[in-house]
Amino acid sequence: MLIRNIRILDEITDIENDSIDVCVDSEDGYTFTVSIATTKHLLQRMDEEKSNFSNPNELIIVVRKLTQEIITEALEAYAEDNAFWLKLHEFASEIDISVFDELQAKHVKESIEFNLLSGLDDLEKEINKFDKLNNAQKSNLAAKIEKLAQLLDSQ
Amino acid sequence: MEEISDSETEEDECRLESKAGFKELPDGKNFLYNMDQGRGLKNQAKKVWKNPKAKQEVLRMLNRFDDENANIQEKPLKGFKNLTELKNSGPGPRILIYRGKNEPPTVIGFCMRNDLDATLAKLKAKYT
Repeated sequence: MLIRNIRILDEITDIENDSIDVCVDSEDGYTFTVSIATTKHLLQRMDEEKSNFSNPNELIIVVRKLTQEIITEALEAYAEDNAFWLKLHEFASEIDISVFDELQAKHVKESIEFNLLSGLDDLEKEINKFDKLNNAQKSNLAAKIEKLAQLLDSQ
Repeated sequence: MEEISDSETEEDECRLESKAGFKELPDGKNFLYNMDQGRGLKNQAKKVWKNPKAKQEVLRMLNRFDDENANIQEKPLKGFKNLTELKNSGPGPRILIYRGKNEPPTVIGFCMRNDLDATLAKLKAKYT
């Protein structure tokens, strides 16, 4: 995504210790609003909150210093890949939890499939070890396993 | 049963009007409300109110704003003489405060971070 303009909404009081809201005007006319903070500011916030970690809802772009050059550099990086990360920062608070639940369910399903397919591979190896089975029987069982694997693949 | 006088009712109505009808907004010891800033800004606040997490955040920030000992991020807004924003650094809500001379700070509205630019553009004429 191409950035047309960057506008800082807050007054910067200390370039090494501050957090600001910034607007990013894109070429296509949309304006993203993101928060940028320095590492020092995050440390200070943790001290103030008496916490050892930053607040989970503080989705923020972290920089060393709040100079125009660094802010531009950071935002250009966030605007890469069709502005994936910029969009995530913009819309994070509006993403419904069901989106993640759906992705999680998909991953669980894929993991089950992987375990089943691996299990079938192991079974095939075991069958091939049996000397009592003649080649036709072995091929027959291997074909059945292959069929099951194909069925799983098509799910 | 306690009797409610007309003046008390009027006072309540005025107070609710200054909160743009958002009944659950807490009365502050140290700040006032003047959220009667038009339909557009009320709609931005409604969007916050519809988001349970954001609503909780606004209530939490206002309680902290009222507590002189609590730390809260209040930042002067560029291009405005007397406007500041209360915020956490995340994508959540921003509360807009008018800091006039010799008067308590006044909450004039709130919006989600991604509505901040449009909200400020609306307030430009009045507060610069």
